[in-house]
Amino acid sequence: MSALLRLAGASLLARRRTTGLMLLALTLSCALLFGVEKLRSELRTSAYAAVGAVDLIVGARTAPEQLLLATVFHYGALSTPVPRAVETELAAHPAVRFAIPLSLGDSVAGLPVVGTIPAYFAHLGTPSKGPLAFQAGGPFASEEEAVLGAEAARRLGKGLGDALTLSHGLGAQSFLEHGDHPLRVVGILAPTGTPLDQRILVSLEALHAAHEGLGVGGEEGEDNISALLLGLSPRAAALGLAAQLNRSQDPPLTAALPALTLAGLLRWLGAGEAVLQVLSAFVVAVALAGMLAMMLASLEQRRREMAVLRALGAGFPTLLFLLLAEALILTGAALALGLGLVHGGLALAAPALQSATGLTLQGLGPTAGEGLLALGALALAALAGLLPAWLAARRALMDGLSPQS
Amino acid sequence: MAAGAQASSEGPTRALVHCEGLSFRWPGAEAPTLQHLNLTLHAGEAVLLRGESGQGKSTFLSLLAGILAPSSGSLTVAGHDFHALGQRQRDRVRGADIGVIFQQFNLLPFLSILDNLLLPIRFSTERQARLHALGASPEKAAEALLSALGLSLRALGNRSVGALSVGQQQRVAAARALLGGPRLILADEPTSALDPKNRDAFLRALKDAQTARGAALLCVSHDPALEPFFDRTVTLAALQGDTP
Repeated sequence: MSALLRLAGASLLARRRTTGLMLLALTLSCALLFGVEKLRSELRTSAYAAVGAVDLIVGARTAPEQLLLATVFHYGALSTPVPRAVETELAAHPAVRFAIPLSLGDSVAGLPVVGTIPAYFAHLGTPSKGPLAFQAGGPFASEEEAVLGAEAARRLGKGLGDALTLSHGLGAQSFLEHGDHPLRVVGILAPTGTPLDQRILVSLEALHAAHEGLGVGGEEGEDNISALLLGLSPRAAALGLAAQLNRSQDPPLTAALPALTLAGLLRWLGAGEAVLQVLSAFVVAVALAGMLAMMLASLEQRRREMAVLRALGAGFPTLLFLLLAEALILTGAALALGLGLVHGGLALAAPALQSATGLTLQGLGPTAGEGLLALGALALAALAGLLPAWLAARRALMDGLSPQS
Repeated sequence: MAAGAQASSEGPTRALVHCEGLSFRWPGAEAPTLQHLNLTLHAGEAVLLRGESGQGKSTFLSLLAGILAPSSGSLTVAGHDFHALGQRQRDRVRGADIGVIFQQFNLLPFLSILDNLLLPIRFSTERQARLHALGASPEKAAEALLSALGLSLRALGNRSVGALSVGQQQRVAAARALLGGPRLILADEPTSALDPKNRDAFLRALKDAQTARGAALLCVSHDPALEPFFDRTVTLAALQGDTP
């Protein structure tokens, strides 16, 4: 058995030019297959990690998807503010473990500035749901202080004690920059692999003061916030509380269950993912068809090889096994190389992806999904290899001892 | 030709190869390629089957090797009734008891000389067992056979098969056919790619190795110059007339 595998390997190596080209095509197609699968599963894991310990997101009446995207992923804006009285009221609710107000809509150099309270750091750790970990310093304690996400600190090039100036609006280059209210960096968070890494966290008062200074206070004044993040105990209370809040008319509120809303969004994305998966599976099938063509083309020049093996006592099953092993060795190698390519590539691309999307690819080890894909590809390869194997073994029987006749 | 005159008087049961009324027709062919052939071959005997090409000599060898199945008649090789055995069992008999030497391209170019030599051992547990019973490692046995055929594995070193001369390749092929003690050697025009000097040297070496190991040798060739090296010479036409 192992001797036969070595024989198949040696024969493949002897035809290294065609074998190499075939291996390249198979490897790239397998890499595409694995890449799509990896991104799909990783983005899901990352997205759920970003929700973290939040059980309910409360904002002014809007779509739950918009509420989730604006508060967790900084995508889109919440135009209607929520009176701060809602926070006070909800914080007193017996099922509410914590209520963290958020004031959104500002940025520094394209990084979102979030106004909140120091309790944020105590409750919103991800994914362990304990307190947030700092790589340096600690939470802000006054309106002159700010905390930076890991990526934000890197992009701004700021460290502990550095000064930071706020601007209004989410643009990368806001025209309303003002130096009146410089803040001091007192803490830098450890990387979390979520959009939190890109955030600049300041107190609600600091944001308010910045807006006052610019004369854009308006309805985002001290008494208004953008949204509330709630942690509940028991967590099952979320459904009932959400239903109750969604009925409220004074003020009209929306309460979104983040995990549920995210699942809905991802389901919607799933159709696109399915198209990608089918396409990448087709690419693998095309590469396997190429391998089949290569093997069929090589059969003619290998009649001699088959005849020698026949003469030595190799029967139909042995020749079948040899050629099948060839297809499986090629595909197996391509799968391993493709997997390595994807994981190596993602390890290299992870920083760029992190700064572009705020999502960090966490599990860079092979997953069960990848194992299933690999098994599927091998099964397909065996099926594809069966045809040339059968033809060659069949012909070797017909050729007898002298294939030149 | 009175080639069959030396046919042994011993019974067919003692013979290594015995066929009677052996016929073969390719599937779909009008006329049979071989018809009513009779041949008896004993251990230690070296027989030349001579004739022009296209008469079916190679097909006859394929039948004796168990690669093709006879259409009719009886065929016993090394005590096995090839008519009764299936393809798999005939493959097994060939692996264990028959060594084959082709006209050329006997060796797999992607394997080393030693790996080529050891191939039959990998395919047949019987050959393995025989070497084991002699207390010889396959490598040592291969080396000894090769030197009996006038080649030194050490001198050839790690040379690739393609770097060997045709004469050297044929010697390696002969050594491979004999390794592990098969009882019958079938050679199909083994010298047609050799010049007369190399041909004679090869045949002498092959004959010596075969005699020393007591194997039977059936060699097919169109070349009358080979006759002196064999115990007797037969033709297909003579085999048709013979009663074994």
